[in-house]
Formats: sequence, C-alpha cells, structure tokens
Amino acid sequence: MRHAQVDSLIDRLVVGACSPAEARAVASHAIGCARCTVRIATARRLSTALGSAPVLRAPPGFAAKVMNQVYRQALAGQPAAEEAPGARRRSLSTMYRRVAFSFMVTAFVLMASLVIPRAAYTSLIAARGADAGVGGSTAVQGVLQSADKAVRGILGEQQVGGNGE
Amino acid sequence: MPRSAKTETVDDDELIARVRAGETRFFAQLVTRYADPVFAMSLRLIGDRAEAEDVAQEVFLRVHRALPAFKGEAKFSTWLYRITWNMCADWRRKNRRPGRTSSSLETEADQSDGRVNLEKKVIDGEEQAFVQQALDGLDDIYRSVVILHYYQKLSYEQIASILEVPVKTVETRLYRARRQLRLRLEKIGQGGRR
Repeated sequence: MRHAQVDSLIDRLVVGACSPAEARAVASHAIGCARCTVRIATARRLSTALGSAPVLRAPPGFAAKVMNQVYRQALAGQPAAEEAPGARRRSLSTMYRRVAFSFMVTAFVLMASLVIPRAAYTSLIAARGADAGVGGSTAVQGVLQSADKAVRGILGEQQVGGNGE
Repeated sequence: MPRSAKTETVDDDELIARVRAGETRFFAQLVTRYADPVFAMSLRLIGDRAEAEDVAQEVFLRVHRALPAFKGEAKFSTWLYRITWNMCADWRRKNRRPGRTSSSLETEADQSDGRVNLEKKVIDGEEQAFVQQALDGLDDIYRSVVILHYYQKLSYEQIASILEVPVKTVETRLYRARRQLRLRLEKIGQGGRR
C-alpha cells in the first residue's frame, strides 16, 4: 500500500468506517512507515479530542430570563397563539386599517362640523322669513337671533353679512 | 438533551401541546431542557459569550412565538436547532470578524462547566486548544458539520435537516472536515508532538 492510499483511508479508519481488509493493509503499511504512523496517531488524537470537547452550559438564570421575556410578551397582549410567523405582518395590517379608519372618521367629523351649521343656518333664516310673514312670535325671533349669533361666530362675519342680515 | 430526570417525565410533544393550549408555564420546561445545547451551539458558532446568550434567548422567544405554526414534521429538537443555526448564521453574516483564538472557548468552558475534572482539563486542554485553533480556520460549511456532529452530538439525519442538505452531503463534508483538521494539526506541529 502506498502513502497516498493510506492517507485517503486514515480518516475513515479512525472512525471505524474502513473494511477489515483495508484496516489490515493500513496497519501493515504503518509498521514500516514513520510518516503514516504519525498521521494515524494525529487522526486518532483528533478524533478523541473532538469526542471529548468540554461541555458548554447555559449561564445560571438563563431559563428565568427567557421566561421573563416570554411572560412580558404575553402580558403585552401577544399570546402564543397569535405569534405564529406572519402574525407580525397581520398585526401591522390591522394597525394600518385602524389608522385609515381613524382618518376617515376624523374627515367625516370635520366635514360635518362645516356643512351642518351652514345648512342649519340657512334653514333657520328661511324659517324666520316665513314666521315674519305671518307676524311670528317674539320668542321664536329671539331663538333665531341667538342662533344667528352662534352661527356667525362659526362662519365669520363676512359670510353672515353676505346672507342678507 | 435533558438536564434532569424531572423534566424528562413529560415529553416534548406533550409540553408543546400544553404551551399551545395557552399554558405558557410549560414552556419553561422546554427552555430548561434545551438551554444548554442551544447556548452551546450559539457559543460555538458565534464565539462570544454575551452575544451567544442574547442569541440563545432570542431563539427561545422566536420558538415560543412560532410554536403554533410548528407542525411536528421534524422532531422539536431538530426544529429548535435549525432555528438556532439560522439565527447564528444571521448573526455571523451581520458581524463578520476574524475567527476567535482557541483559548477563548476554553475559558468559556471553564466558566460554564465547573464540574470538569481538573486533571482531565490539564491533559486535554492543550489538545483541545489546538483542535479549536484548527477548527477556527475551517470554512464555515466544514466547521458547521464538525460542531453539529461532534459537539452537539447530532446525527447525520438531524444535521442534514438543519442545514437543508442531503445526508450524503453531510457525510462528505464531515469526511473532508476531519481530513482538513488533521492536515492543519500536522501543519501546526501537533503531529509530531507526542
């Protein structure tokens, strides 16, 4: 057996992956070959060292730290059942939907605050005109005047003036 | 890799079922059971104790979040190690830096395992240091199979599942890794040391 053949078998030999015939051939070669003997010895030491590597243990309190974070997540309203992969994406889309809904509600309220007083004012003016035509009561006129003032305050003097006060 | 007989009494599947049913406290048993191997794998792959601890914690948090999606197609431990592997690989991509010296992991071992026999440490320490030095110099694909097989004691099938490669590839990589390690040790001068 040549050096190269032995070399190709050494790493299999030390893990017991060689056939008995191969193992015998390597052994008989190694008897008269110092270089291959050293290589085989190195391979055996390597195998032993790899197999007896020091055990690395988690630091004390590791599990407690993990569980603290797990419970914190749970308390934050993210129970395990909602935390599957994709849950974060889903929660984001829910958040976007809520923001969009909030914008829509705000826009509606703003629109309503502008349009409704104007419409109310117009109908009040029309009602006052009709009442005046039939000699309406002073109480109704008083209510209408105070409503006028309130609407003026909202819409501004110009608008109120433009409506033929 | 159970740590105590008490935690062995309930198997992983039962613990997972209970956690999925909302009994979060049972997750603590899974953490206790797998804290050492997950931390060890992180430390071996990352090489920094503090960073490895952070990554290991994040692994368990991710596992807890993803537990409802765990279908049980692979063993829980294999799935857990795959997540650990992926997170360590991510960490290594983001924090590329020169390999660590052999002495650093020996120190980690001293700190983390007070039960290691002192005499054995003296005899084996130098050998381990040289092996670690040679291991640090290996390409990631070879280094990883050595770590997973020899240090994490995982089977070829488990390693194949974690790395998402065929079993035959694992065998080939391990063979080449051993050979490269031996050649490196010979080059370092260990071959003629004894």
